[in-house]
Amino acid sequence: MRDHFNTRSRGNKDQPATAGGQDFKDLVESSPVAVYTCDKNGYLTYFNRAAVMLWGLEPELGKDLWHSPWKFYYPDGRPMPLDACPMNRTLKEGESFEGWEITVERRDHSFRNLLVFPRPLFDGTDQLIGAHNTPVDITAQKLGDKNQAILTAIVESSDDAIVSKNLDSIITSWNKAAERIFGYTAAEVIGKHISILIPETLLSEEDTIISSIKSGRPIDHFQTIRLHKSGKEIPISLTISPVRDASGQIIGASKIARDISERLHTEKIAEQSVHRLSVLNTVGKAISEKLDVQAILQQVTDATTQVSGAAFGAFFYNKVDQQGESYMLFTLSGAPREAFEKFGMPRNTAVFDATFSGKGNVRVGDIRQDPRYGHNAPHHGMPKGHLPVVSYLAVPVISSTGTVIGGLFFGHPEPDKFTLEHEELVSGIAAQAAIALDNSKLFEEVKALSAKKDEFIALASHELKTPLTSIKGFLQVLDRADREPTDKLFITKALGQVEKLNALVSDLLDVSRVEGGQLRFDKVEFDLKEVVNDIIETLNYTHKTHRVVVSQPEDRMMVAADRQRIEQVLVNLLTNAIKYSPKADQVWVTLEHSRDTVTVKVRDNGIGLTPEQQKKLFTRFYRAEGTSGIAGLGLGLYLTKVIIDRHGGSITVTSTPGNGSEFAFSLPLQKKSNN
Amino acid sequence: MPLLIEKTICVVEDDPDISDLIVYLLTALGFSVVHYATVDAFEHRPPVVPALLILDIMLPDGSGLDICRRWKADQDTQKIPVLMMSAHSEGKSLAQDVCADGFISKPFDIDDFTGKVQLSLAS
Repeated sequence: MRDHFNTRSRGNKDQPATAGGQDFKDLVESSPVAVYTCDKNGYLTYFNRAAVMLWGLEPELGKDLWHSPWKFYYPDGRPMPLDACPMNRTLKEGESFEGWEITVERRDHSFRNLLVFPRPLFDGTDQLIGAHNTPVDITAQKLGDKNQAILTAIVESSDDAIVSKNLDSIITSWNKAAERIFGYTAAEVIGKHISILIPETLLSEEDTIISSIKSGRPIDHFQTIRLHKSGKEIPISLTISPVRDASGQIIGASKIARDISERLHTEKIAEQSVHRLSVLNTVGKAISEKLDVQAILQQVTDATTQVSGAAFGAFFYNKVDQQGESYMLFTLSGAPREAFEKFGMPRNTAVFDATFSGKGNVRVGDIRQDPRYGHNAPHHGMPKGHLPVVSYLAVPVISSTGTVIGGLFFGHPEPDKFTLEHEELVSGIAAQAAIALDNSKLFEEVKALSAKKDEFIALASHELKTPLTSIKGFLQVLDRADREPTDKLFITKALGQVEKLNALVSDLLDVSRVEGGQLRFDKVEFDLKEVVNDIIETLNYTHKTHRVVVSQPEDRMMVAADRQRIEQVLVNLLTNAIKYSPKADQVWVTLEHSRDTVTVKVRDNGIGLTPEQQKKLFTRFYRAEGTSGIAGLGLGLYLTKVIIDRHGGSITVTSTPGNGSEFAFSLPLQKKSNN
Repeated sequence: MPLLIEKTICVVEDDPDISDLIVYLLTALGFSVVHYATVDAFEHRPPVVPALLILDIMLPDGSGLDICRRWKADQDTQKIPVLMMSAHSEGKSLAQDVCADGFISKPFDIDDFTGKVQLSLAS
């Protein structure tokens, strides 16, 4: 069909058809749109500057074909054979193919998207003499379209709702995710005010948002609540940015809304987890600190009842009676004792069996429906007046030896109250309780053993003292009579040994009592100077090898202490001083007092002690090397230190090997009381 | 030592050597001594009123503390002083608990022993 705008040639076929006038010619020549004409064989008869730009080269008129600078493709990228090319068809068929889209590849391998408008040219006799074309370069537009398509795809494929609105808060765009999250289709919501999404109590947020956007300030991850079409509240996180036009003016806002219900739910679960762990930890610590069985079980029952959300909980201790059945109630939580006691003990029923035989946890949403329930006489179920149990959870407490210590039982009047988490948490606590109970049992055993040991030592020392009594007595009787000096000497020596033996036995007994925490003191007020001087006097008489030199202040040195034990300390230090300086003949005692303390120093000039030895000196049974020639059990200083420490004092040693040692102990000064 | 009027001292002690020692010491002081090794023997003793009762705490068939308790509860005997003996570390306070008049720990110095006997008799 001939197009209305066909121009008919006026001249011969070798001349380009003109539309009349130089102006027109200039117009075409300078047009930004490419224009070219060719003859019926396709040779170029005219082209403008724009065509040259489009071709990417300047062809020769009459010599080059219109299509020679290009390779042709369909818009989808498939190569287009020349025959299919619109321009070609125009020349062949004499038809125009206006507005067809093609892609051309230029010599430099760059591509252009073109909208072509090839039209046939006819002579006066309607013979086809050529064609002209004004291909429009739509490359930029196509690119724009392509970018636009990508952006649109991004918006549409986002999981987050992307919504845009203008400064009057009217919704202007609405993506797929927005439809999903808020329940409105784009058609329902575009053009409406954004407040349809906002809960009534939060409407003021919109004003804040708009004013922030208007001043160019974006809003980042603002956590709030919006409404679904159904009215349901959705927790969301909003990010809102200003949208600007080409001139930089803010014309609206783009909102990205993320549904955070999932995240909040996960956070809540994590929080619960943390809370549960901390409960477990607290309970675990509290349990492990206790060694008293009753206290442990009560704590465990209370804690597990609380964390499981049970209405009431109990720990039943596995005790079998003569009939081989009953279990004794031990601790309970959430209900008074009367409520549990009213109906007697839980019996060996199918329901309880699973727990007491340690088969595992039992968790039932409605115990009345459980197949194990209701089979046992006489109640066939819960006895009248029983606490209302519908939800039921039972966890065995199993010791490390595998024996079932008992079971934890929880009940709630509503069904399905106990979840797997509850079960796991309670199991965790039950396991810790089992350990604590084991420990407590061990502790009881150790205490029993310790008590036995103490009993033995008390008995042993009593038994040892009995023969010592006879020996000492008879030796003393012998000593009374007049005898040969050598006899007298031997008797004296024998008596001396008896004293040593006696002292050793006493020390041993003391040590055992220290261990058993039974060393008791009889504290009275006395002048330490008195005691010191008395001891020294006795020692000067019994230990003739050394002389004790005393240096003391004028005033009294009052202390509140066990006189006998302080004497023990002094005897220990002084006899040591003498014992460990066999080559010397003196020991020195100095008494001092400051405002709050009294100090006694005992110095000798004997074998001394290395720093190593000084460190271990006050430990039980310690004897320094090189002292094997000197008798002793290593208990004296240990007891001395215990005695001084327990009186609120302190004891120290300073020494250098070969140069003797000085022991100093101090006690609190007893201020004058108003007697 | 001046000869004392013969008084009888009753001793309950199970160890034979200690018993001999005490008998020897007291006899040397001029006392007449009767001694028993068990609670049972003591309870079946002939009726002699002693001037002093010396009791060991640990006895094979009972406790000297019980004897003392009963002694002090009995109107006929409560005025007669009781001296308790023991190798037991808590002996002194145990003796005080049952209202003994004196206590001596074992092993003892024989002069201490005789001193305490005199003291108890004097009170």
